[in-house]
Amino acid sequence: MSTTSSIRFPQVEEKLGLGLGMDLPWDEEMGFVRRVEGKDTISEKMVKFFNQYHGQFNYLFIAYQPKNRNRLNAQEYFEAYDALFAAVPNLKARAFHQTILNMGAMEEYDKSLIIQFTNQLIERYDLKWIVEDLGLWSVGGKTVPFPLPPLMTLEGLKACIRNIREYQENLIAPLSIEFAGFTEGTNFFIGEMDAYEYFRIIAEETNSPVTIDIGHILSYQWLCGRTGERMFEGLEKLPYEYCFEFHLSGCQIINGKFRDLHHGVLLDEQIDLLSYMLPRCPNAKAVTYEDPKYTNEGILIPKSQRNYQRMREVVEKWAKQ
Amino acid sequence: MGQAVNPFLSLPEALYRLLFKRSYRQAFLEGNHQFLDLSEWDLQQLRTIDHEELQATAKNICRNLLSGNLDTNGGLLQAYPSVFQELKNLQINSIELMYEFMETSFFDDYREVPFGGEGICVEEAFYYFLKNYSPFIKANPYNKLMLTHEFLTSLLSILVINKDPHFVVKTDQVICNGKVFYAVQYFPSQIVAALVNRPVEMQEQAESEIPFLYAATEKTLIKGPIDELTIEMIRLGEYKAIERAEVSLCERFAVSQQDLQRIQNKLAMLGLIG
Repeated sequence: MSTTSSIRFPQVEEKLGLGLGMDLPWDEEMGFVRRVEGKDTISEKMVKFFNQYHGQFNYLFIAYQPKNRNRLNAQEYFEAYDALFAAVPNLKARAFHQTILNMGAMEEYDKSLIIQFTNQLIERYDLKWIVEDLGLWSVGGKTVPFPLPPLMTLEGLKACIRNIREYQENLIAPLSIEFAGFTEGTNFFIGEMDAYEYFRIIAEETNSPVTIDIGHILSYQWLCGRTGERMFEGLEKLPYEYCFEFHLSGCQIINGKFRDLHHGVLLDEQIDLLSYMLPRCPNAKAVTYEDPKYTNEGILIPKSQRNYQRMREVVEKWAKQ
Repeated sequence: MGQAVNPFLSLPEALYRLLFKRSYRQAFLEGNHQFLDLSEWDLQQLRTIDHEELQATAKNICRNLLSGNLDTNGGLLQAYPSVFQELKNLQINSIELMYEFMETSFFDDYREVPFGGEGICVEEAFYYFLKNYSPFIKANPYNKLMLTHEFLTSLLSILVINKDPHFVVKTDQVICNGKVFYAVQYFPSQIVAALVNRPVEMQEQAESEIPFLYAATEKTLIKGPIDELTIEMIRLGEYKAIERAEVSLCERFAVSQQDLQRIQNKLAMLGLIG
């Protein structure tokens, strides 16, 4: 078991406060614009959003979306990423949400190109950390519609530890391991290990910083029947001292199921849980609002405004402490 | 002593089948555990699976195969528009067809991610599947030609955009001449006329079957009827090789050196030779 001094935390001295996480597909209205003639860039709608909320977010990460079906080549992404970061100057930090590390995979796969690709981005953009949900993003070389939790078995756990160690040894920025989503879109899982204990073992065995996605935690609590007043039960098993970052993305309860939909509208329970967890995580430095949804004028959609403001207040208060 | 063979599937193998093989999934959902080839311990690990979510995931995979996803795959409907129209005319349900496709080894050969080992693209995998799918192939003598045309169009279009593809191209119909990937397919003249939406010229009709070119150049897909001389020049691929073969080409195809030069310049301008 490691002490917190051996955890590979990102090189961030002060609390970063509130940041922004964006999943940016290609050729969508909120995403990157591919150009045959001229340079790739970002959509107009995104530019408006950045202008509207200038100064409200202290850091930014983007989630990797493949541009094409070529072998991984970081240079193909430079134009678009350059345009993005140029549109959001004065950030305290930049990070990158990978989607191809596939840390839950049990089959052997060649990680060298993934590592090379990621390191090139880290160097060019001075990325302070890499984050990815612990899970299965592809199975047998084919992606799944939504990432699945890793196999919740001893063998699955060993595979995660093996994969994460390889990434931590070779990535030139720390990799923060995000707690898996248990109800992201359509989703199911295999195995009976307790997800919090599983997560703690991974953090301890790999000395990795971790990211706690509040929606993912609520989804697991929901699956375990810990709802309402029982929402805080069992959370003490989480590796709080390893937590560097929190994620909050829009969630909803549909037909009796908790859904992590990334639609920008935060639930009251997410804000309550954030308030509960922040003081319990002595090494936390960052709280990310993931995948905001906004109008053509770049303004957050009305339904999301109330809890966005509540989240900001909670984070500002915590950041000053 | 020989090494003991594990008679059971591993859990990752079972997961693959649960996601992509309807027959295996159905056996699990219906509790026919004897067909799952899993140890008692591993069977117990599957108890946590939410049946409804598993089925919804499988359906989403079908939909993504058909319509693409947010990544780089435009979907089979986009790649094979006329084929799916014909399938619809034959009252073949496209979702059902995807379930059947996924059961095959053609689907297993497909790799979507660049680090998943060597594999072909989904468009090529689907081509092999449908080429062997008798309800479609036997319904109309032209269906196989339609399938081949849309396969080559889609594959060569993909190669225009993806100059360094992470997947392999298995078909020997697609050739690289050192400058471009290209394919030549022979069609009856009436098919070519339909493909180019105009009557085929007399010269092109001289043969019972007309060669049709598909080529992925630097910026665009070039396709259309072609003659044997031009095919040979594209095959040679570069000025020097064509120059070396100039005399024999002129003799064989009964053209002047000036004509040969004119064609060569045009091919170079189009980016078909280097």
